[in-house]
Amino acid sequence: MYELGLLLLLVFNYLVFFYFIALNGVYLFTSLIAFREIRQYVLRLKSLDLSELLGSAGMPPVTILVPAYNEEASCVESVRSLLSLNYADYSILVVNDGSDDATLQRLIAEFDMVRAARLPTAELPARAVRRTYQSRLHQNLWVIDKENGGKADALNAGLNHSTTPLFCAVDADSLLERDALIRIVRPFLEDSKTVAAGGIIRIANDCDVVRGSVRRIRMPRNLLAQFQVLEYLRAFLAGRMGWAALDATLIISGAFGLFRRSLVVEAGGYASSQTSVATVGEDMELVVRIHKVCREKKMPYRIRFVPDPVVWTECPESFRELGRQRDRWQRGMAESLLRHRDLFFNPKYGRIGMFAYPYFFLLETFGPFIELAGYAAFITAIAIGVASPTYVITFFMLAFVFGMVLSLAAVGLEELGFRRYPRVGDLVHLFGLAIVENFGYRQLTTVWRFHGLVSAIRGKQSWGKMTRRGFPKEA
Amino acid sequence: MPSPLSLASQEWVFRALALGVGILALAMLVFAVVVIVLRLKHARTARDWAQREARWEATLLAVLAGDAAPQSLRDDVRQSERRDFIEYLVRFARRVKGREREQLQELAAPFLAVLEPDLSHRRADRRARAVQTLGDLGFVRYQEPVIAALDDEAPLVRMIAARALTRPEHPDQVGLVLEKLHLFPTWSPNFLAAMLADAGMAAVPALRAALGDPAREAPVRAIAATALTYLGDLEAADVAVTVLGGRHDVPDLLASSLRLIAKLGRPEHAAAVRPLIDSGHFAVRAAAISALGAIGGPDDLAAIREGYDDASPWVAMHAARALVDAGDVRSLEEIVARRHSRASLAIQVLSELEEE
Repeated sequence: MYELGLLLLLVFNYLVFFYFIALNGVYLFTSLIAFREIRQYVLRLKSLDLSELLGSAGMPPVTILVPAYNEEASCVESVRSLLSLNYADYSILVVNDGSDDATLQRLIAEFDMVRAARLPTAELPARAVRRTYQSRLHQNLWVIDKENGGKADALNAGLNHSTTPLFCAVDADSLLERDALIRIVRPFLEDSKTVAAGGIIRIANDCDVVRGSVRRIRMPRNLLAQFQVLEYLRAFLAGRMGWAALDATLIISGAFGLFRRSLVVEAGGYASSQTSVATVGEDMELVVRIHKVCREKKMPYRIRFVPDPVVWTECPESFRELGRQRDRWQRGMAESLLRHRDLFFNPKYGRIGMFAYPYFFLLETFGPFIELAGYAAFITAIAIGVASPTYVITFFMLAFVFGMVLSLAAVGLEELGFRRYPRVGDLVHLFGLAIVENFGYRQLTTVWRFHGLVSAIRGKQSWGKMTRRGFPKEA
Repeated sequence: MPSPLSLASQEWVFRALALGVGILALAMLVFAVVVIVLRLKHARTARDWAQREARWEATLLAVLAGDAAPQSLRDDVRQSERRDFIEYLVRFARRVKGREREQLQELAAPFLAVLEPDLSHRRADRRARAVQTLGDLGFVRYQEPVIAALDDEAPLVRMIAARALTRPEHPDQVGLVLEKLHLFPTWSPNFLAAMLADAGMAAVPALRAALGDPAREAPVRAIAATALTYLGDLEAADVAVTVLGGRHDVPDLLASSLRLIAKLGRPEHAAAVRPLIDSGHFAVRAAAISALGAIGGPDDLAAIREGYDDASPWVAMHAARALVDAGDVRSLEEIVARRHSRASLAIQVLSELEEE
């Protein structure tokens, strides 16, 4: 029995080791691909003047959908940022999803909204719309006030009321940069096979915001927020850029994505309790479903990631809220992937089925379980004296240095293409964070993600509450 | 019996892990150095560029104002700065037109040869940049390579060339671009139409010819129709009518021709539009109803009203706006009064009318 236990421990130790190598190997691989892609992207931008190429005519009209639930602290700034976009033809549809706070009242007062009719052009199932409002100050600003049904339901209600070929989903607590729309629309102009595109999300905590626009970029003062700056760089510049280059994007963040409306309507809209089974990961679920619909119809399509259209967002600064957010993200991913498990190693779905889905399913969804169990297995092995502490320490050193390499690669990608943190101090700070985050922060996120995985398996549906500070203003 | 886990403490496992740590530590160091070098390089480039700009700007403004001779600025450009100077002029050239643009082209002329090797550079972005710059600042001299770039293997270079050839200064090249429009299959048709329309009214004959030529591919004709709509060419409506009498299996071409007629047509074109309100494609029905609203007569009102009950909400929306265009606001008020299932559409269109 003891021998069997030891054997299992050994097998598990090797499983953890291979998991570690596979996961970090993929990270390194996508980082290297992203390096090539960002370099080419920067050269392309340099060779092609955006404003020159994209005159006002010929730009497709876009509807920006902003689902808002209890966003009184930041909704006005967000709408202001949307109103100042540099784009010829767009309208903004804020969908107030039955907020209990003063979100609707603040929007009505600030933008002089009056009741106005707006025709639904699609019939995606969604909770009842109570009233629609139009601003008397800005003709392209509308608010749809509806009964509470969740974010996906609010987006579906917005989709029903949008009339443009493209729609852009944006979180109500986010700030879009002035050129964000013009930049993210570009793949749709260059390649009519493009059905969706995502942009990059950056952390706005402690940046100066003037009339809905980020004027001065600073590293956040809060340590948790600082870690997230580095995490976002890794996730977007190394991760999503790399996956997009492989034509295997499985997620476009709900905070900022541009989609071909007709295809999303045809695919049944966002997954909500009204359409099918609700998920807290409606953004990833939609992208997975778009892949399925396009592949099943043998329709040529592309899903892109564009690294320079930026949306700024306020990130959690407390353990409690960050934990809830990570729990929700993990739950959303697990729910989306479990729902579409027919993709798993299914050659019918090409590289999505054979590569991207198995990676996200095995390594990202179940990763936290393997990692935590791995810690336990190592500790057990040391405790019963069957593993050499030197081996374990060396293994952890490897993990630590690998993590740092990936973080520095992400900082390098930022430096290569965008340099949003201009102070040398910020750069040094990012280097420091790449070291410090390995001691506690990473393990904590693993625990939160594990909790999210358990919640997904148990079918938990709540979002959890996040308290918004509102965007900081210029001093 | 040795523990199975003793494998993990064997020397070779430890050595492999230690080697891994060493390699990764080295990689980490390399990345850190790369980041620092990139930062220093960018900072230096930005500083040098700012210094050069400051040096040239005052003289350039004096040259443009006629207070200084062009040669005084050219003399201030060192051999190693020729590319930067061209880059600097390109930035200005995008913001000016007419005489000032010509002055910039004259200033650039002696330096442009430095870009010639880039036209055949192995990197597409270098070729694209060269085509764009030579198209902007030296089109007369470099017309041939710019035209040749329409057939470049890289889509980016082809697009830059097409853009350079559809400028208002040389609208005679639009025909060439139309011939090569099939090389841009992935680009948005509206974008391509806007690009062609940029050439201005002098491009109209070529566009009309393309629209009216049944031998051309339907997507090219549809793009030509949209470009003519942007340009507001009244006579193009006659050509569009001939399209309506032709193939009915290409909804994009029909819809863009109908949109042209809706904007620029005359009442005598309505007869050609009427049969299309029963088209099997919703976009064609919607465009036909809009056209009838714009150019039809009282006899067409019944058909437009029927369009309000079309299964497609898009056709209904076009029908509501067509009723307004046709002056039949009363029908919309009646729809509201009898609480039609699409009454909210009528309310929306009526409120838009009030705003106007």
